Amino acid sequence: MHKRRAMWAMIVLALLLSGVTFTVLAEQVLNSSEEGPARPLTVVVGENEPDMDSRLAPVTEAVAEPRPLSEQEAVEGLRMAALEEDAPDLDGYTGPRRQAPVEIFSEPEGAERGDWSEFFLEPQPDQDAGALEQNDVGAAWSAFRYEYVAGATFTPRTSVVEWRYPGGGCIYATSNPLQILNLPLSLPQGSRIDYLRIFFYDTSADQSDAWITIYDGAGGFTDLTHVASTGTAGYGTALSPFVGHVVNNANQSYVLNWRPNVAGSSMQLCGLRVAYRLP
Amino acid sequence: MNMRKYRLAWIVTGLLIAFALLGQSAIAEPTSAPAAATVAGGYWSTFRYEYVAGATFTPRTSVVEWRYPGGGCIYAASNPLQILNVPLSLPQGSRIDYLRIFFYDTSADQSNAWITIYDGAGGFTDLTHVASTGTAGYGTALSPFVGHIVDNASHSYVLNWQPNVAGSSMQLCGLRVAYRLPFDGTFLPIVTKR
Repeated sequence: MHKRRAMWAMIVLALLLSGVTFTVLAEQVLNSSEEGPARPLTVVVGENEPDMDSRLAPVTEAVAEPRPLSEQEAVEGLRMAALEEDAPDLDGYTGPRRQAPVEIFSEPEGAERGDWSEFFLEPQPDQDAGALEQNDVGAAWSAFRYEYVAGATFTPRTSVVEWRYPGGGCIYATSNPLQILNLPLSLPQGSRIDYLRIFFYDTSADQSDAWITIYDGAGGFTDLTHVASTGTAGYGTALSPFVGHVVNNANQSYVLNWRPNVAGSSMQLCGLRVAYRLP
Repeated sequence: MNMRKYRLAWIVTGLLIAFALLGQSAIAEPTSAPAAATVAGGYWSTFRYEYVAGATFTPRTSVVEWRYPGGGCIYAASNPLQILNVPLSLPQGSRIDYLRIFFYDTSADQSNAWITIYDGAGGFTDLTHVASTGTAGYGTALSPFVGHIVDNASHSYVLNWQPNVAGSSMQLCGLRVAYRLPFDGTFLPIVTKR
């Protein structure tokens, strides 16, 4: 009698445990991090403008070009989707991690290089260790963040300019050096732009100019700050005055600009770095 | 109930318990990657992605002519050994894990894509490389694991593509960087009332 009761108790216990296990496993499958089928798109918008916050509205699909997907392209798309399954760059991948030596594609090694240690002997105003007291508002702002872009990614505002790549992430103009090269600047909403730093190669008697411009989309613009390349010693860096502009991406677009002023490799832009703080 | 039925009942019970226990251990230690992977002593988020269309790339020098074939892709019409690039902006302290190329390739050659970091004084490092492969048209390929920690104070980051072939048989349709954010959250102690 005791044996029979014990056996039934064990059976009931086993069934309960199995039930719990089934339930949890089923939830894990349903909540898997693997990408599932496409969901209908919605976006938060407001004031009846599709790029503002506050209300839900269906996305209006913009057509970049009138090119319907061919059957072959659709099939290729499916093939690519299949390639995506169980890939190391997707969450949930369980396979081995491949590592390999990196080949050099950018340019041959051995080109002339500068040495920043001679420029940063002391903490700079755009470094946390050297931030000036009057430019800091204590706990209201984060430590410095940086947006650092290579000169080689700039492109001219007009197609009359010709430009070349000398190596090291730099760029120079070979014609029309008074024309401006630029690049979009994207910073977090509400962050504060404190400084603009230029990294350059300059063996010319002239100077090149870099600055940040904001546009309102209606022809209005403001240049926030400016910094120039200086000297003729080759690689160098210079820092703008303190800016203190709070980013408002709703009303303005932000652009980094560089004007060589000199054609040829004696005047190169190697990078611009914006030092900003988060609120 | 005779002995044979007893044995059968015990066996069934044993199997059910074994299944339940195995299932519970699988729940406790999933074989798939956890939400927060721990690598090299740190805690990292699930993957984030920076995915840029090929059509946004521009050449490093004006000797290159390029065209837009549709679908967000791009190809070089001349000087295909020259490089096209675009800035790469990632959060400070995040970890670059992989670079994936999306391409259209019907050529016998391959195109190359990679990430370069520059120090502003002529110094550079190529972090990783991935090539388009095959001749079947649209495809994708993944770089080896990178594991580079982003330092925006010291380096600018750039995505590069070298077509190697002029014409629409070799197109870049996109590059996607898979990265993880560091977990630096504060863990408060649990207070319990007894």
